[in-house]
Amino acid sequence: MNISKTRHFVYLALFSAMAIVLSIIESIYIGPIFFMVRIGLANIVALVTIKILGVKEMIIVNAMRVVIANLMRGLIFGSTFWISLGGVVLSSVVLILLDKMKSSLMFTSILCSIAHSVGQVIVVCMFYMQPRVAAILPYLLAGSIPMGVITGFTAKLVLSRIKPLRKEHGLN
Amino acid sequence: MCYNQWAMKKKEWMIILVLAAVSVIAIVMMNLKKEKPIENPVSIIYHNQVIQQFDPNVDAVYQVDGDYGGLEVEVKDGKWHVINEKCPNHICAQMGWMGLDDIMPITCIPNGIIIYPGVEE
Repeated sequence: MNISKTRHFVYLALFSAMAIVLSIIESIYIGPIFFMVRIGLANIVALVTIKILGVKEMIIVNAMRVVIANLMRGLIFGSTFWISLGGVVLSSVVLILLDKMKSSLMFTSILCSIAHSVGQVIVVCMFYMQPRVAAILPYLLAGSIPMGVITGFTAKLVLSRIKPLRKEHGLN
Repeated sequence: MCYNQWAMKKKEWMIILVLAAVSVIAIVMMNLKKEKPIENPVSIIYHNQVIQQFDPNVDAVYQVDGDYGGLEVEVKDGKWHVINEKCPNHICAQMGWMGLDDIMPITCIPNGIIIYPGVEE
């Protein structure tokens, strides 16, 4: 493995670690706002990863985030795990599509935030046979927009501060 | 790929505004569409099955079994809230007191329980 590959692997490990730590911190110390909407701090890492390392790496980071964060909290394969997996899968799909369409970072962040909430509600409605939970979708939709703005703005600040990585990966 | 493209374009603004408008309209519609009060108007649902109905004007504590150990619903002065919940998240208890004017159901996903202001068949 040459130096470039090793460095790439190290960055991937660092982003995964950051996503896991942010996910755990948010779930333990920062509760949902108005009982429903979380900020989605780990989504910042997903946004940064797809812009710097690429799609495949973003999927790895998101998968690691869900599996290891739930494993560390003792919630693996419980309801929390499947619900967060549903949110992450849908938000990852939206993130990949919007990245291919070259949408703006802020728009991508807002739609990913919405997709994350919608994915969670879909899992609850379909797999847990609780269709009445769909009643909270309008509230989630309204709450996800400001949360997406927060994560998008933070991702922009992060991207502008990690110059060595950007230069190495040929970004402006 | 250019990270500088972070500000939203006009089309993107329009999509976000439409989504925000849809959510606001849906919330307003849901709050306007309130049914008349009836006897035992609150249902406790476990995996899509009504396991308990209660009148919020009668003070009581209802114990409900769930997937994670269950919870208790305390009813007082026309309002209800969750106490002694056995689940890892405690979001249901954090939702606090709910009344017939609140459209939001109290939801405990780990236990598979929803406390819903309405009568279910």
